[in-house]
Amino acid sequence: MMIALVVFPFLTALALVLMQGTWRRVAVMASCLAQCGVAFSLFQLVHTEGTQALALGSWGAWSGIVLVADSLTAGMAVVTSLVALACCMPYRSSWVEHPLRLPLMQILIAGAYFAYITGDLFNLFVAFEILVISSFALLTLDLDNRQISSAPPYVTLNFLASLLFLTGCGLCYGFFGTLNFALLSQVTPQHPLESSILLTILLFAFLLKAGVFPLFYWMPNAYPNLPAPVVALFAGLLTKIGVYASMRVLGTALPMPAEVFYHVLFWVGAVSAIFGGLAAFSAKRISFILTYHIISQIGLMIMALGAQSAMAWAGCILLLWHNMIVKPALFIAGDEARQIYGTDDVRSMGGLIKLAPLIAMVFFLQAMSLAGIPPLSGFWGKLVLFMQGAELGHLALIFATILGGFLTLMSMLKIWIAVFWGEPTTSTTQGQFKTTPASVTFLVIALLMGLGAYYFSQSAVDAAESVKDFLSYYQAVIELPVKGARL
Amino acid sequence: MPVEFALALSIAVAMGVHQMLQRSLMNVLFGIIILSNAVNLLILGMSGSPTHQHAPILENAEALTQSVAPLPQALILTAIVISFAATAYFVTLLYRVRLDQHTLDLKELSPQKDSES
Repeated sequence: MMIALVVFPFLTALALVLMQGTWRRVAVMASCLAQCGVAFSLFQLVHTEGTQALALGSWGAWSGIVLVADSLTAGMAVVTSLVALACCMPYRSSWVEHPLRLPLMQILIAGAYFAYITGDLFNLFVAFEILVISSFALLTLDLDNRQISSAPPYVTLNFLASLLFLTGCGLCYGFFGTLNFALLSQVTPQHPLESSILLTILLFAFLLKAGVFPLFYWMPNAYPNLPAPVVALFAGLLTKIGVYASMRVLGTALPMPAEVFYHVLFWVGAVSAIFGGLAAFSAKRISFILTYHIISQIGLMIMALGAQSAMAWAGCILLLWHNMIVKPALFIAGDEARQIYGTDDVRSMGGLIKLAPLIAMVFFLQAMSLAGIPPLSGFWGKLVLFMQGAELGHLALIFATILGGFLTLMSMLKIWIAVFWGEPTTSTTQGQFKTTPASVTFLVIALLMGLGAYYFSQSAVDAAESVKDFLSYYQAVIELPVKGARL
Repeated sequence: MPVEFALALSIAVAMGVHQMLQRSLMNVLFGIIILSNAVNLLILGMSGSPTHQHAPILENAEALTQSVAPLPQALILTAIVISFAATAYFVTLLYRVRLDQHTLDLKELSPQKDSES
């Protein structure tokens, strides 16, 4: 099951290179549906039978490769498979499809699944590299001048993050003699100094990948130039995997870090949430506004990680899953609006609600969800954070959550007032613009998340508890059958 | 890790960082290449001092207790392949930037502004 999750998209990518025309579409849809099926059945399995582990080649955990799926892994896989399904749907008939785009998107998705299920630090690095290199390729696939000139900072900073991560892997092996999360969780509490050094390096690399406040420079230049399905996939997966990796390392691998790490995470997150909101409010193009929102939302998640309690982590996971669905949907809806006006500068757009009521409706629902209006999905994560803030007496948490949400709402209203209201600024006739299947799919998923909040938040609480429960993670790994006592 | 090895490593890292802070993208590229090799050396250093140790080859069981750790070498192989792929991409990208903009100086390559569309 766990292997199928990674191998499926890889094989699809290979098969897609050989196919043409309608067959490609059929094949990629079939594969995405199959991935959803695998992810859901993994979720079911983990839910009923607890954490699953698999030792590849039956080598022991000290030197072999171990795959582990706990509730967090399974939940992330389910949400990722849904994002993948919507992003790989046919976008616009007029859109010229580069023959390598779908295969590369599938490889990126495979990298994401691999990052979730891997049980050791080095394979997490490999998964990051699969993600990053396929994102490099997707970034410059159209050979558009703007894409090319935005690529060097993106490539350099991501390369730097990878090198830091690799340094972390090397030091980890040198300090502890293993890279396996489960074994690390047993060894690291006795070595606080080494753990702190390792954690500093790893968190710096992960936060650079996640794009929080001082380390976000690569994002706002690269994202607005990409075609909508690709930027949707990037927004749904790339930065979120940085948050996932921080959670896995802080919760499972190095479970008892010095208090100061939590404080740093908290304040970095809070500053990033507010800075991102302000930057989004001052931006003038829809794609820039949405890109700065990513920084703000990632900030909220990192801040929740810094609040330390399991419930705050559950809030972080709720926000994470909600963002993985809503953010891509907004990018796609924004791009649909751009198609109508030929630009996405909010100052020269207007009256979209008369031109294309359906697009306006989709955008409105997703934007309100992002701002956290009940009963949409974004509300529940913020509610959990708010309640945690009240319970722990953490005023800064409450304040930053509210301020972040307020700034998000303001910039969404800015888009709303400028673009959707008013008189139409183009003379194109009404009813010509339809929403794409992708944004309808995203809308359905987002609404289901909001209305099924009970199950949604229950899974998030499960996931938060399982990522912090390193003992049962260790149990699942150590009970694996081992082939002989070699080396 | 022997002192000479640590010194060599830190010089390599210093060179890499210095190159990365230059204004030309070409220097950044060299910085990245040097840094990634420095990191690979660091991982190699983690397998311990090779003095009085055997190569980790399965010939007889006693020799294995006195051999260097084999895992870092496997890690380095993977890391080399990955950094090779990424470097190849970066070189191609720089070639293309040079063709388009006739410069690799970061000061002259201005990123797109929010107000342009």
